[in-house]
Amino acid sequence: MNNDSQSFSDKILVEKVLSGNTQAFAIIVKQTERLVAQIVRKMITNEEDQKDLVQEIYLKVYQRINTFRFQSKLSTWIGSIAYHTSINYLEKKKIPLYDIDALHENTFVQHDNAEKKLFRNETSNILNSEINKLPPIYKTLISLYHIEELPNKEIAEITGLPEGTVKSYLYRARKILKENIESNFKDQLI
Amino acid sequence: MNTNHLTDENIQDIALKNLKEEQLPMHIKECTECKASLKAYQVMMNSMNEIRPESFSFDVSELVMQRIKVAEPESSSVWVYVLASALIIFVTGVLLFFMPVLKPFFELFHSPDSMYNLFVAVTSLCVFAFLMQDVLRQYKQKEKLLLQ
Repeated sequence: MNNDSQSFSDKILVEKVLSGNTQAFAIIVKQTERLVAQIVRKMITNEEDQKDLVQEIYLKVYQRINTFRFQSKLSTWIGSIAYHTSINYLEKKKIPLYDIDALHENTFVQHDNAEKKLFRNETSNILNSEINKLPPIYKTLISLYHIEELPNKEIAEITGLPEGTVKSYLYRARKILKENIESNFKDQLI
Repeated sequence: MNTNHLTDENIQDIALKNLKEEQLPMHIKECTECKASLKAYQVMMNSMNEIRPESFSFDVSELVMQRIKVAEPESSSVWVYVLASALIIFVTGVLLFFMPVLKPFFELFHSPDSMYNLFVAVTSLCVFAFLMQDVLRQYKQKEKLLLQ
């Protein structure tokens, strides 16, 4: 869908929701569910917490939809709410967002299990498990860029980070991933 | 051979562009170290494309729509205004109808002293404002509980 038709479709949906049509909101939920999953599941692993967060995110969307000014795609705006709600959750739980040191400790703790797993996993599974060991912000950025295939500009809008910072975090995240994979799975992958 | 290796960022940029062999910078073609690093990034980035997107293990629409219906505002505010107007008309009608009976009751609070009348009016208004403020506070508390 190109930008104009996307924006038109967003306008129709938002107008319908504002006039009290909850079915239109159900369509918005369906359309953005994958992006929200990409953000929430990368940040929060506990399923019950995911349920609570998803409800909180869409309730915020529903209550604030009258403030949406169509300056970005509706999905980007919802992604931004999902991102910031997840960040708030992690901050409340005092979970480090960027902590690379914690990542390395985590990598070594899980190394034995990972070695056993690699014989029965495929490359993308191994890579996915390595992505999941990254700090929350890095793994979210990696999945938004490489799996959702969003451009840096849109990721910057979602996260509220400057575009240059997004780029630099992505470089760092890929570098860490490459180093971890090389040290743990070199023979299998490359 | 040029020993000024490419930066990690440069190598990642090249890997992201997915260039063909002949389009690669000369240094990469000649430097085994940078070439190996590029290959590693290319393998990694290609594998990323094969990762299945995340999805929830529960039905998001069902979960969310249940919550939305609880928090849903009144479907039509027009009906609220119609009901409020009907109520006001009804109360005014009742007051007018029972005015002869209620007159002695109002005269209890009526005094020739205007200061006394003013005092009664201000006190009534203060009590009314206090009650309304309390109702509003309770309403907000309940709304907050519902939305949590």
